[in-house]
Amino acid sequence: MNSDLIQRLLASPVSFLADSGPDEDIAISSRIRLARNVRDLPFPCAAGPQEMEQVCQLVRAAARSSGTLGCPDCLEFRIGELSATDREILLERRLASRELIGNLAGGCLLVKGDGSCSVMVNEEDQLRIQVLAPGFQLEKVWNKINALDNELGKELAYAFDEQLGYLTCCPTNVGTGMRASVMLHLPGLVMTGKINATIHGINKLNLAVRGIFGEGSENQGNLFQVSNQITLGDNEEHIIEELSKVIRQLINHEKAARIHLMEHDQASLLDHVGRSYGILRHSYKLSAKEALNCLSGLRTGVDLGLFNNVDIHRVNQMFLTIHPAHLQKSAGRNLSAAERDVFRASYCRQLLAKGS
Amino acid sequence: MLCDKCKKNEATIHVKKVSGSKIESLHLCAACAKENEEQGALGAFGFNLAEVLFNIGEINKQESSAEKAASENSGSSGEEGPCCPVCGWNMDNLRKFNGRVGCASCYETFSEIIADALTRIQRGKVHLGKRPGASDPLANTAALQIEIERNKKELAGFILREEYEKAAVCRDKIADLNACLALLKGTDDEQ
Repeated sequence: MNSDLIQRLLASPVSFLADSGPDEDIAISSRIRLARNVRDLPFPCAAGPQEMEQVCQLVRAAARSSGTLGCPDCLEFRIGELSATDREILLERRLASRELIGNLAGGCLLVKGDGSCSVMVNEEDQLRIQVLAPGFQLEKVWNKINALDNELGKELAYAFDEQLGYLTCCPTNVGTGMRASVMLHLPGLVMTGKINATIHGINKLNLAVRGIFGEGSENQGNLFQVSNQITLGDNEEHIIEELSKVIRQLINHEKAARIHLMEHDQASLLDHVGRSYGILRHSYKLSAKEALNCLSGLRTGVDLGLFNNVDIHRVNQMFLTIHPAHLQKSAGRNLSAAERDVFRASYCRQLLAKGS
Repeated sequence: MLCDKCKKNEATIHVKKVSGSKIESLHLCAACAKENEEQGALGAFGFNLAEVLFNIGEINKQESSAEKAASENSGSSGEEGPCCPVCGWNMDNLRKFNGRVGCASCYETFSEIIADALTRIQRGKVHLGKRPGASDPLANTAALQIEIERNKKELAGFILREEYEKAAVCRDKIADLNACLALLKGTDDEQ
């Protein structure tokens, strides 16, 4: 049953990568998540299997009766019933976090058919509501998640305190429980050596910069996730407005860096793009790290208009499908790390051959 | 490279601990790193969020002397620090789970240390965002008033220390909050 649902998920395109969005040349996707808990039930770290099950039932019933997430036709996954590869699929598609897929005893995930909205149940908090959209559009994402949260909030009695706001498992999220982030592709700032100073500056503004898979992950493929840190003492709209201002500036800095490279060091830039394409198109062994870095080079070339036969959304999706679990699903069997590198190279060669 | 702890598996997690001019390296396999982290000793990443967030090392030091007298009077089990009456969460749990609390009531049980942590990491002490069941995200005049008072005190401090740029930001925030408050009171009156 669960594996059928994974197949359904794999069959549908990933909206936040496949569809067009504002500023998509630099901003890949926008995401907001809200941390919520139900009053009178312990948070997952202190809950037993029965209490976690109770939360699952409550959230599922709330989603069904409010009709949010497209329920009853939404996809429901019981983490404990999934194979290791299927769990990784959810992680790679950014529908689940590492923490959720590690909760085999009580983790549960509800996903809208198109993958744009989801609720993780029994993650760090009982509910982690999430909305993802392509490009840079935090305001729209906020409107969507706010409505979704209101609907679920009518059915569930959230743990809320007059002074502290929404009570979360970790006090670093208390208040709004909101984390808004934008995934940015910043090869220009990396190549011009300005990225470290930029990250340092962003950190000073109480914003966090992380790698592709969020907390604790390093930068790969010149992809950076910028998010708010403050959750108490300010309202959601203002937090989003402040974050958006910084993202807008970052996008402008990245554009300026790319123009600078075209004007002053065109050979290095074109060499990077050309080599990246060459490796993806002609190699026979490709690690995930090398593939991500080459895809970054290819994406830069597409943004600069150097390839008229490669679509930016196809490159976006390759950022996802070259990861281990997705590769193994394409291959239809488990692959060792060495086998994956060979399969990954072949997969990239074929995809780029289709475009030419 | 083999794991420093079990000497069997390949080490995949490399921790560097810098204390003063001394650098210690630790190479662990995933299983041993997890075990280390669960024991809450140093954490696989050489860092325990609870320690930093709640200043637990300092609290333990201060409490160890005060605790003796308190436990004699109250006849408590002698365990350090507060314990949540609803879920049983104590300081050990707080530390072991990287600063996480066990339930909503823990916010009351650990109110002192949480308030201290929030002052350091957050922008204010009062929630100004949306509320369950309220269409207006700022329909909370009491919270707004507390926040205005807090900012006024902060403003006085900035002026005293001649930090005029910060004072200007604070003054604008008070004006915004007052505007919100006036708006809310206006809608209350109409109803």
